[in-house]
Amino acid sequence: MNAEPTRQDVLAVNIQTIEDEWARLWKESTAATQANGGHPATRNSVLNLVVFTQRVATAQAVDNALDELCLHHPARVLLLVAESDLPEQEMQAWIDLSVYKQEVRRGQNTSEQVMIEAKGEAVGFLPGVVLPLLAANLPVFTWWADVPPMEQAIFERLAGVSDRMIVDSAEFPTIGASFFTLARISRSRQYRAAVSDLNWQRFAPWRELTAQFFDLAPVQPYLKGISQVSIEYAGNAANGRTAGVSNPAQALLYIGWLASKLNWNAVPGQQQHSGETYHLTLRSHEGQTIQVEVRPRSVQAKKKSALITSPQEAEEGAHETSPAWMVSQTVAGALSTVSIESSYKGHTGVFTIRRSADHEHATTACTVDGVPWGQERTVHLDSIGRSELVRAEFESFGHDDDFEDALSIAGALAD
Amino acid sequence: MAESAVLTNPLRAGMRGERTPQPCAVVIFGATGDLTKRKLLPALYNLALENPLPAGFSVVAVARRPMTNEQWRQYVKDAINEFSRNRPVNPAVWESFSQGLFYHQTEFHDLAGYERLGQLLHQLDHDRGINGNHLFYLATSPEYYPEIIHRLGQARLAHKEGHGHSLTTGHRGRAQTNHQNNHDSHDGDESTTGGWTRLVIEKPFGHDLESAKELNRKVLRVFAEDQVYRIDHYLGKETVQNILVFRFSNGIFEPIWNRRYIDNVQITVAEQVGVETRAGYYETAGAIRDIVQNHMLQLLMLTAMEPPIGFEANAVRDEKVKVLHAIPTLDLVEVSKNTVRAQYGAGWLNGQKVPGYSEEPGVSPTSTTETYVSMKLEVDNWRWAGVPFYLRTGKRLAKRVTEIDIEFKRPPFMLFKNTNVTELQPNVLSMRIQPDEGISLRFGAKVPGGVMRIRGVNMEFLYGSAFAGEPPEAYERLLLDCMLGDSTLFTRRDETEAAWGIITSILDGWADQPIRHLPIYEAGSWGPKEADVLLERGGRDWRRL
Repeated sequence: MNAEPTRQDVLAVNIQTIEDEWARLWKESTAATQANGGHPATRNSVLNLVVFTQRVATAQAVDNALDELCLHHPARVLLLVAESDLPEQEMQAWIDLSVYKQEVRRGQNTSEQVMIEAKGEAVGFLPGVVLPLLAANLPVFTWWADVPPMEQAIFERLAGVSDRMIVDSAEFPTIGASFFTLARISRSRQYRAAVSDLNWQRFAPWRELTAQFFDLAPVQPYLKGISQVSIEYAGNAANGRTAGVSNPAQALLYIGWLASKLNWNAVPGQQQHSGETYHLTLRSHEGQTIQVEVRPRSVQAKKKSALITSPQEAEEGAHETSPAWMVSQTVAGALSTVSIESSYKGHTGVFTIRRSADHEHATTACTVDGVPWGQERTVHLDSIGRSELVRAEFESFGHDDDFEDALSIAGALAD
Repeated sequence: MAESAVLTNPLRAGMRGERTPQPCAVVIFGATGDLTKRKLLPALYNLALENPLPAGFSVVAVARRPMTNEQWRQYVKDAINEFSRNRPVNPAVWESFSQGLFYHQTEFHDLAGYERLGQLLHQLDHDRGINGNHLFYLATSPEYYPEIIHRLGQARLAHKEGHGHSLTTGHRGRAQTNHQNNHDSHDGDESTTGGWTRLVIEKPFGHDLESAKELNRKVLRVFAEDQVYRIDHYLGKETVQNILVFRFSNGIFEPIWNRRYIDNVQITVAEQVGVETRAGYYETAGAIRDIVQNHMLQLLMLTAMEPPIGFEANAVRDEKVKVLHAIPTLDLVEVSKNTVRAQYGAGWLNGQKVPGYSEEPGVSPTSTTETYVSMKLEVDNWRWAGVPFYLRTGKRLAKRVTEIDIEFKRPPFMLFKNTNVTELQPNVLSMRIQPDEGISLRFGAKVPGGVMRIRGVNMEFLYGSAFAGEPPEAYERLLLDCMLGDSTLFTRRDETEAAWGIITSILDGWADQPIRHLPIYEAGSWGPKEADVLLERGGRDWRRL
């Protein structure tokens, strides 16, 4: 499929005239295409996409990702660059139309895009600019492509007009407070926005593989006897790279998910963490105590640039030669090993999922009293880049209760 | 056990995303055949690769040719590398997947071979944790179906016992989770010994009404109906499924989806290919058995059916089969008047000269097998009385296209009679199944200018413009549905027989009026002129596609 768009010249415009300029571009585009005997591009947006960035570099990376996103989901895109740290106060906009032609399936579509750059105090006025530019009767997806400024008013104001807020907890500098804010927004009647976390999606295969252990009837009783969960996540690279901070968001969300599904509650006063290692104590409804250890693990990089310390780094092209899977599977904080220990009728079962050295696969294994039980199995971990993760969110509607439950618990555990 | 194994796993509740079946073994009869090689093996591998099948998932090949497990694994690997949309094989996934591949050699009539198969499955139940979940897939030539089914019963591999209730009666809670719903309909096919047993049967299911009934009788002596999955891969196509979504998730169409507003319906399944290597089968089948009895009647049913009470297997199939019951069988006069059959002659297609059907390898030079058929059917019910359904299908036609066209009635009053406008064109809603899947609505619009002129324009929705992701292959969807116990997209016994009832009435009519020479249409054309006459009698034309 050819995702390479053809574009009109990017045009600097006055904020007040964006709609007029779009209309003019459409007319010109249609006339030019028809003059050449072609079929005019279809104006069939399926969503509004508001992308919030705080750096021009991020905006440029997002702009590249939009080619892929808009090929699949023609959209009206409002790309916001909010540089609140700058002293000047000004706002400028650039618009374009991007025509996407597909080779596999006939047809082409056109996305409308405006980039609005706000500096200094002008950032506070962005919601007022966004609202009138949203295409009517289409869902609004807001993607926070940088660390979302949850402490700023603009975060909640955009939450108020969004149907879905897309964040990436792999970038959160602090987990507990961020999860708490997101959980509040997702549960509040004041906002209609559902919250999505790209990081939650990244480890979906781990949840699936965990669930598969317990699909088998003989194994199910072990769910009630879980006494220990050990999680390792990708920390700093073994090759000496130390940039970036290990991010336990995936690991904590995983524990949050298990806890919500199995009705575990945190035991007050017994949650400890030192540095990036957590020792947590939870208790099931039946009174079973569950000890949880979450710790970073140095990742032996496949090659020098295999470990990407943040999705941001990947998006900005620091690893242009890396295959797509590296972007998702070796993000710092990615789950590396999960081990669940449980007992039932005097037997001890250990269920393990371990990421392979090549980062592309995971192997599942189960032992009972130290003896292998069933088949060890290796599965492929999908090579999902950030654009694809965002794209998948465009196909999600409504709240993801599993995520929101996990988010609440993970936030409490991380505090 | 099989039901509770998943439904009581609390980690499953509310889980989004793909559906995962229980551990099971797929037992393929005819494992070295073309269908298995081109479709089934790549589909199973793709499921393992993209939607992790459960640990212990196994494939047991059953065929007459001697082969070791290792040779079979190499055969599978070669098939995947040649035909899978994900190729070459992923080494790590292959390592796990291949451990679940087994080969069992037997003659299809050899009871001892089935007993040995039972022992192998029993061993796999234990070793690979598949707990008696067995899916038998008949991918052989149809003449072996009765024998294989009979022997499966004799070898006690069918596990029909314990079937006390029907499936998907609509009494179950509707508010179940997605995953639970996926398992909604399979509890009835569990054996008393644990695990479930299912049978998948490829088309053709019989060659006329009587043979279909006879095959059903033989199947149901051994299996219960809710264990049987009659496959029509057309129903696995995303865009075919979308007909239901389009009709029943959009409130604006249902009020006009009837005889008051619709003038006629045209269903076209046009192929550019000729008979290729299928002459042996095609000579005995022809277009009417190959395409009309299954694919086209499925499209007709989905277009004409009433809203089901729920998106559940039997609710959907109940409504589909009502459509077939509402189509009167054709008497001799009607067959003569309302059906056209023809055969392609030599011609040019895509710039190449192609031979006529009777010149194709394996085809008798005096063959009267139809490669083209068109017909007019009526659906005699409250919604459709008086609305003709025109069906046409053929090989070596001008274009490969499958499309359903709903032609609406013209406006009752010619408002523009004092202008240049002499005729108003009807609105047409087109649902294109392949290629370029999409939906278009044709309507009249004023041509800009001082003079009143009206031109038809298309408002077009292309799937490729809104959803560019590639959908799974039809067989992937259908195999997964089988493993999950969801029979919505499979044909029920009464549906099969009702379809054959209609087709057999036409076959009988043709047999009663044998013709020495079929009308010949030129390859690369849109069929014989007789087909045009069929519509012209009603003052209509075939849609130009």
